[in-house]
Amino acid sequence: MDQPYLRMIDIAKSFPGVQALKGVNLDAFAGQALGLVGANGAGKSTLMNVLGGVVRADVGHIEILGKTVEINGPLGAALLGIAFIHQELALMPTLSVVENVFISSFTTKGGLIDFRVAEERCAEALARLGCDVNPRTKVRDLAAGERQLVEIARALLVNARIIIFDEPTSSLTQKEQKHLFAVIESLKKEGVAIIYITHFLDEIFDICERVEVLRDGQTVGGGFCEELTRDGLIRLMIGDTISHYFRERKAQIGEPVLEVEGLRREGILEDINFTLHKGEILGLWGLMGSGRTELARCLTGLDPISSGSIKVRTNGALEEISPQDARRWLGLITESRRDDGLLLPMSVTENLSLANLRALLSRIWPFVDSGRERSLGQQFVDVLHIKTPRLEQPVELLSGGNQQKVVLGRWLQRNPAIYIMDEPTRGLDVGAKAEIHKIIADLADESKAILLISSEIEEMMGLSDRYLVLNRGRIVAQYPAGAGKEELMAAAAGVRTHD
Amino acid sequence: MIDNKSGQFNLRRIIFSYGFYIVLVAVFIIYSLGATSFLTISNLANILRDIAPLLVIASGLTLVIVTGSLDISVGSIALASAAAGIFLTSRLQLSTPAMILIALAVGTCLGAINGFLIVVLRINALVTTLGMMIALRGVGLDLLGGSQWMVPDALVDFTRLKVGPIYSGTIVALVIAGVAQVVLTRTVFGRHLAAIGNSPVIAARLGVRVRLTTFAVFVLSGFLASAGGILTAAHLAVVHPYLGQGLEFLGVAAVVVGGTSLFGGEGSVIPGTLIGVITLILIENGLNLMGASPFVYPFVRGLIIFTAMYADSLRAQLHGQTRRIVTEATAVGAE
Repeated sequence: MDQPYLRMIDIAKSFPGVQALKGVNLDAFAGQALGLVGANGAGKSTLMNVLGGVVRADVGHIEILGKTVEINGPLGAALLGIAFIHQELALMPTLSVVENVFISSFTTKGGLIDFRVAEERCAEALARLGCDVNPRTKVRDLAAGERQLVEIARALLVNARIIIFDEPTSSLTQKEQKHLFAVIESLKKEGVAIIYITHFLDEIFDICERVEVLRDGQTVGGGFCEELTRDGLIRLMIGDTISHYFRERKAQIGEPVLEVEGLRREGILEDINFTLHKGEILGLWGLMGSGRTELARCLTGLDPISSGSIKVRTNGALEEISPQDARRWLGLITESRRDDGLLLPMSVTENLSLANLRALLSRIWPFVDSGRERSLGQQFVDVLHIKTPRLEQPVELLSGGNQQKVVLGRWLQRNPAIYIMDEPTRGLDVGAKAEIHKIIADLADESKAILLISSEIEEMMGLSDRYLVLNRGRIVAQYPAGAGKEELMAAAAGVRTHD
Repeated sequence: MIDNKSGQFNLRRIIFSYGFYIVLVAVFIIYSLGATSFLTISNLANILRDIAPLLVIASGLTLVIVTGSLDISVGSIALASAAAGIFLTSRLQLSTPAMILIALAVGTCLGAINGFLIVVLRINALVTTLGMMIALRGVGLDLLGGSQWMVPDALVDFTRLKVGPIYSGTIVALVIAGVAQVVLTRTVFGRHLAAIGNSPVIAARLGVRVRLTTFAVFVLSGFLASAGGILTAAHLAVVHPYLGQGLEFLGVAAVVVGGTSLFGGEGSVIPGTLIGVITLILIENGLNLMGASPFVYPFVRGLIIFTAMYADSLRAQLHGQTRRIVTEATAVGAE
């Protein structure tokens, strides 16, 4: 085989308290895509930040075409032909497409920006990506897929020879994803070396020639995709410690604790009826836009309902409650922990106690008893195995899996009888997912009632006792545990097979 | 259904984008009917003369606000630099151009001190310029000895020059505003200001020299503040101890009224800030002609500032909402 275009040799990097990388080796070849996979916290982001010039490695060196290079900051990386398509796109919404693309490389004529030339070149690059957006459009008016193409166009225009994609499909529709893959294929044909980071192993097999697996800051294996299997990759990623979780039910399903009748929200939800029992995990499944999240928000009083009743078992009997009061009995674990779930700059302890502050008031003063707050915090950090150097650590510095555990821990501390979990494992790696699954299963075994919303069908099927399928705001089908994947999919897509 | 919705939103968007033109026109009509001396050539020329200092200062402020920052020391810089200029000129018997140069140089240096504190010592911009606002007023008062100083006749004569009905100061201010607008929209520096206003982190990642650019914009703001100070002094023919007082807030109000977002990232000097300045000056001019009590002015100013800020906040919400609608539409498309 030819010489690798890029070699990263023995890269090590430590942050205060963490050895993020412990000697990583990685080769990328021109015209090929290299998949980079690993659990959250395995060091993928750090490694790519080293390559992108965002952080500097403590040890090790980087070679391009056999020559050692120094990467001085993000600009230095760009000069070496390295482009980084970030997961949270590095775009400026109030600026136009052309300004976003050329922000640090405008050509000027007599001190003024030559927008005509810039717009032409920008339109050209976008056209190569099959995108006909007007370069003068403001980025905030673009769809997610178009935004990503703008960012790729920026990479093309600085003649990037190495393009790093970090979870590029997480916010794309299926159509946009297909388009992106076509773009990546054409980039490969032009001889660009692609590094593709993802949690979705299917994508690796679709788009990559080779794959490299990181675990705990080290490369633990990899090779040609043709010679690898999904299961093999998962084993490499998580080591031999955790296997995919399938729940074994321990407790009996008990009496109904939540009964929803005829719930309706104008234009969004129609005639929602279901009952949730003690010790039961009820899976709610539907495609994007089916009204899953909206239902969770209506049940917890975050969105108004037009009609219908919500009954909750309060003191031994089911009683109708007003949705505004629902949060007294229902714990909601939201879909997007960064936006709705966490107070990012605040500490682990404070995030954990947030739903439970009333119970933490001192007996004498109307102030929060910080001693108890701390000890409870510590208790939940231990129970949930939240990996944090200290309780005062701001939550934003934790990995995704640990952040999600904090969200769960908050409600565990409050200890409601009913949980509504909207995509509790979104964006987490296999290991963190398995841990969250275990926590959910344990809750059910402690006779809590759980409404589980998930877009991952395996997760739903592994955990739930019963499934509801939502389509365009209606519950279109109900299935007992053990129903087939195909049946569920058909119901969600609007094919009626069951009533 | 979606089309219907976006139709509604476009209407709202139009109101938000052009709301203050509507206000300006409405105020204009009300005054024309209410005060007979309002709609006269000489009064309109007076209004245009009165906008000059505020327009110059607000031009610099616009550039600062586009970066998502704020400079509330401009009023005091106007005083301190004008005071320094007049003080040295009379002590050392210097010429009028020397006085202008000294004032501009002092303003530039004070802006540089702002920039240094914010960029190098990393003190919050609002706190930095608040401190400078308080301290420099003291410096200015000290230089003036608490009394007002006559401005050289040459400068006063210059501002009495007219092209048609338009005073020379207005022309200077319009040229400065025009240059600021070109700098903002057509130069790399200006686009970098907007990039920083979007997100300093992203801008830095893309190779924008965030700290240097931020420093430069505060220097520029100081420079234009002193230019505004000179214009004010020339209009009044004196440098008095209250010069520039309140100008910083009036300036911010004018910028926001002109549609530049306090959240940073977008805005314009022309037409935006120019319209804002004209609106504010026009309202006061009309109040004056209708014989309103001078004590009403601060109240009206406050009201305008609130309204402008509220409109800015609504605009920001509107953009948040349109973004959500876009993602919903794509989600439906995927199904």
